[in-house]
Amino acid sequence: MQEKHGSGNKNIQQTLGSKVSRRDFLKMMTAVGAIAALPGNGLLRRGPGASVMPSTGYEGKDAYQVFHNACPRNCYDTCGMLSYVKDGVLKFVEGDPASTFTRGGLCVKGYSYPRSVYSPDRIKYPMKQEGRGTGNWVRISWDEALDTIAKKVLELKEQDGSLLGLGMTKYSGNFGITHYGVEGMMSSLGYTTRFVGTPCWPAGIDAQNFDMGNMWCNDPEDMVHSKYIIIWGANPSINSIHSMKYINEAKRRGAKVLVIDPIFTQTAAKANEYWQIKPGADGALALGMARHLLDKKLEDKAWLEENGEGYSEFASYLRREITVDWAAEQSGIPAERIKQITEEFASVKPATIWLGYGLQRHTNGGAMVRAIDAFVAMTGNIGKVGGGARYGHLFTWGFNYNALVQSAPEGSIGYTGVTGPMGEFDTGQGGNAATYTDRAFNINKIAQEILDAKEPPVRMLYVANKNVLSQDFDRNKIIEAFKKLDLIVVADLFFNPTVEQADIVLPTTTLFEDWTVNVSYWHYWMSINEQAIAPMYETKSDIEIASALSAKINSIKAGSCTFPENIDPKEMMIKEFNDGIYSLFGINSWEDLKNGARKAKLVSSASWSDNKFGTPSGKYEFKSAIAEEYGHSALVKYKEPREAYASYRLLTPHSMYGLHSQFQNLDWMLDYNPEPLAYIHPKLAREKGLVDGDTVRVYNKTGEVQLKVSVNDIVPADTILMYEAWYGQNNPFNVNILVDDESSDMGKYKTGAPGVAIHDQFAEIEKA
Amino acid sequence: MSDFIQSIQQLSAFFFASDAKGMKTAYSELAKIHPAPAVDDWSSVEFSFNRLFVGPRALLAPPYASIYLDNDPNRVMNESTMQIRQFYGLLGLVSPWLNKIPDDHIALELDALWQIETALINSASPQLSDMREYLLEHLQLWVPKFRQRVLSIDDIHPAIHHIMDLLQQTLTTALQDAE
Amino acid sequence: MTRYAFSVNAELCIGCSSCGMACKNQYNLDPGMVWRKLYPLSEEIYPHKDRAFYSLACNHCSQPACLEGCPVGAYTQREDGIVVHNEDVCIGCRNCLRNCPFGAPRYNEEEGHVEKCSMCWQRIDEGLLPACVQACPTNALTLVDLDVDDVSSTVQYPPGFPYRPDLEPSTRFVLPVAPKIVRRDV
Repeated sequence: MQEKHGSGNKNIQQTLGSKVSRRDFLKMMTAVGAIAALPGNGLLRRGPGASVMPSTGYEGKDAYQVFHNACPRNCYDTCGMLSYVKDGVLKFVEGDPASTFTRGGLCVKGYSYPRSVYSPDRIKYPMKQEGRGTGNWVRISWDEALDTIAKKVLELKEQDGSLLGLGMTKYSGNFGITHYGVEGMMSSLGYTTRFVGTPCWPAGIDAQNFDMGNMWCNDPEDMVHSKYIIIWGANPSINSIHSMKYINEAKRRGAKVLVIDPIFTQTAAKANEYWQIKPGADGALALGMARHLLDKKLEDKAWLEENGEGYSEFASYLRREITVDWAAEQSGIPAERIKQITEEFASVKPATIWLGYGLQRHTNGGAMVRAIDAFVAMTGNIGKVGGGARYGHLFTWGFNYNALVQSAPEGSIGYTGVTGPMGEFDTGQGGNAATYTDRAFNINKIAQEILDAKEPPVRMLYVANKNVLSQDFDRNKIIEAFKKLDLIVVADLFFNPTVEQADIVLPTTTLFEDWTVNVSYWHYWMSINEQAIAPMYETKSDIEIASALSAKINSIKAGSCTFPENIDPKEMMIKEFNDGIYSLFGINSWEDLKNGARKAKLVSSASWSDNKFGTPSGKYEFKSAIAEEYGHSALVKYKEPREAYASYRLLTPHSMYGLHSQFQNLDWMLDYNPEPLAYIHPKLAREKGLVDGDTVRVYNKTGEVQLKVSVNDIVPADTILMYEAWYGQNNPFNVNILVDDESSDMGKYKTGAPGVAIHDQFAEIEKA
Repeated sequence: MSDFIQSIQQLSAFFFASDAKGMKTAYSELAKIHPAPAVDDWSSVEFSFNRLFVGPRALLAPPYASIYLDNDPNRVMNESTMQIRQFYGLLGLVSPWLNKIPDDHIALELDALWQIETALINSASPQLSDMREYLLEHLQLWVPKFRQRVLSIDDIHPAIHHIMDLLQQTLTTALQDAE
Repeated sequence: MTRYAFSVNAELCIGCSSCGMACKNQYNLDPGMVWRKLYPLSEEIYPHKDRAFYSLACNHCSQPACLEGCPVGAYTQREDGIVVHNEDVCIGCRNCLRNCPFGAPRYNEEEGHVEKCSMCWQRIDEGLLPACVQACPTNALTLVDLDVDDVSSTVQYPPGFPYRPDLEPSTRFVLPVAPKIVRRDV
């Protein structure tokens, strides 16, 4: 805000003109009916504390301007949204009815959006912390913020001869395509250190790539055709609520639904049958099921003959080393059930398995996905409508990545070692065919990487779309590592534990204040995200920050940054579209999306319907040479799970009330989910002398949390369940205090780094 | 300009301030009119100011009318914000930060009051007087709660307590005069 | 004739609370004020905690106790069965709170008045669904017309729901079914 006094509102004298006489003035005021129309005359009559107006609800369709938006969170459902705006203020939101997937409804999180847009606690201005962690913040102008950042970048270049001392960590806080402008910003400055990989799904991605040559699932809307659905280590009742209607419809048409999960989830409660599997034994179970197919001659011989590379070797392995009884022992599922379900699954077509992301968050996660994929392949369900081994896809993500792809300035020096992909969305570096690349560190081991980095050390960190201190692992180690950094810059919406460690915080826009386009890694719809309201306070989107930084640093030293200066965010969004996207979605222009979400025109709802796999052999590979290159068994095989390092398994899956560290901090969400709980079985409760509501300590080698306990038999008797969420700045609860950064087996091939064995954690529990 | 009108203008400027310098300037102008505690360390005032009114942490005393009037402590741009916007419109005023900064930020409301007071010097219009009374009564509905909120927070610089007292005092005086 | 009612299918309900939050979003409800929420069924009714729910707001009774006991006429019953509460007329005496066995009217302490679900009558009059119904991802919560639709497979007084035939609550229910469960631990 400017400080010139009286420049706030247009001066009355200016409005009226200096020559206006008293008589004229009176006339004008009367003309607009001023006095009669004094707003809320009731205001004067009401006593102190009286509200101004009752809650307003729906005011009729003509009362609002309606915009199309898309929820940019890391969620299967990526909902199309409608935003209802009146007088420039967002009043309420709805799901986009144009998308059959969204079908007009959001979720408990999506409906809370107006709360975050208009929270008085939003970060409004660039601010500087005088002394990291002191809590003493001052406002600075964007100019000063960018100046500080630019000068530090130039200093690093001077000091190290490269920008490898500048690190950037970003993940899924906002999946709007233009938010790849953060990576673009880094690339346009030079070669930097990137924290690559993903904490989420990399083991499964690699597994599906080894097996089929890509991660590419069926259209989830085709599950209505499935005659048998196994939901394996996935929980759509929490994480993909819009998928449930397809599963319900399949069930209504006579399909059987089996849920395999360590926890009796809400999804399990909706199934025909639920298996409480021992975590980490999913691979053993799948191999046992595969063995039973052979025993009963239920495998699809013809399909396997045509399409199965290395199949006979796999079949020999099964005969030699796997039995159903062994699988029963490993998994805890009785042999009789394993046999029956296998026979049922194999005797109907199409049948499908939905492999979840929780399933592969283990040290043997990738191997387990390969085993389950193999089982589906053996039943001949790959490439079938209503079939498939469903995990995810990036089929609709073929944008230009104009924001992402930037060239390094002339003369940039970078890393000269061998590097892999910079994350699962990496489409390759554009620009010069350089001998240099960015230096890639494992995003899941940020603390250790910073502690170990040298030549040069990481001196500066830019954080966007990620809440490191809430979501990364081994929190104490992260705090230690941050001490090595001279400058930490965080771009975010709300104050969180990462902002607490920042030297500079930059205020960002919500989706309503931003132009971008969104697609999903599960369904096949695309939604435009229009700017529905003006960016509040001094917020800027990631791409505006990139552009402004470019202008600033070039003004200090020309040629320092290639990112376009003075961008128009809407234009940048338009630039993401290309002919490939237009023809895939059957639209002529991005403007068609202003009428609602559009679906990709698929040749078949089934991926791999032509059986032309993306593997070196062109077939489904039960034996993968690439897998071996990456240090795994070439043949699909059993891999041992991680050994317990404490008495009880600790599971920390997603909460429905938050998406990682977003939403749960809002007051409306606290109305539906007031506090974190540790769920334990009545048997464990008895052992520890605990009852509902007792405060407990849950602790292990990595850390400790205290919270209330809920005694519930949805949990196995040897397990502690706590949902991952961040309750806001006054609540220190964080499950990641207890999660170490042990890697999952796979992930390096397609995402640049292995994943994290989030569900291979263990802890003790006792009354506090 | 009368002391009273000057006070309103400088109070508005204080709440508008984006840094210690701006706060100091407004504070010094106010100190010429009303005795004020001396300040050694303006940084300390700035830290308090930001903790209360700006961020980046959750605001300890949000400076927006609707927070106190609409019984919803966690939403700006609420119903009474739109009412104040309408009120400004009747005066022929509009905030240049429309929909970017809530119209009912204390600085904007004080600025509107300053505008009205200044206009009233030149033309004693009954309609304008009514509008002045409306705005004063509106302010009186929330400023006391706002002030109480500030006073209830620990470790806030005394200079800010002084400003809150001055704000209330100025408002009370204006209301008495209006009768 | 039209007689609107909510139909609550606890078998289809996945406990996601989209319905409740959609309502808060539509009406910009104060923090702490909830008109619709999920009521978990006790273990006697469904054998696992936190796994089955009735989504409830107001039951728009044929003989509404709230309306009967209101001294100022803050409640009106429409022809189509919707029982509308008018906050402007309400004086906050809370008679309705005492009379309603379902807990539908809620008292807003700061505002000094009662609030309750009025079935989004403004939306219905425009041919739209109530916000909660539109939000439901599984058709667990739907709007039915008791005079027209076939509700023979539903019940009016499911276990756990107050039995008040004198009030004739309009809401209809379908009960949840537990799956076959294969456990390894006990």
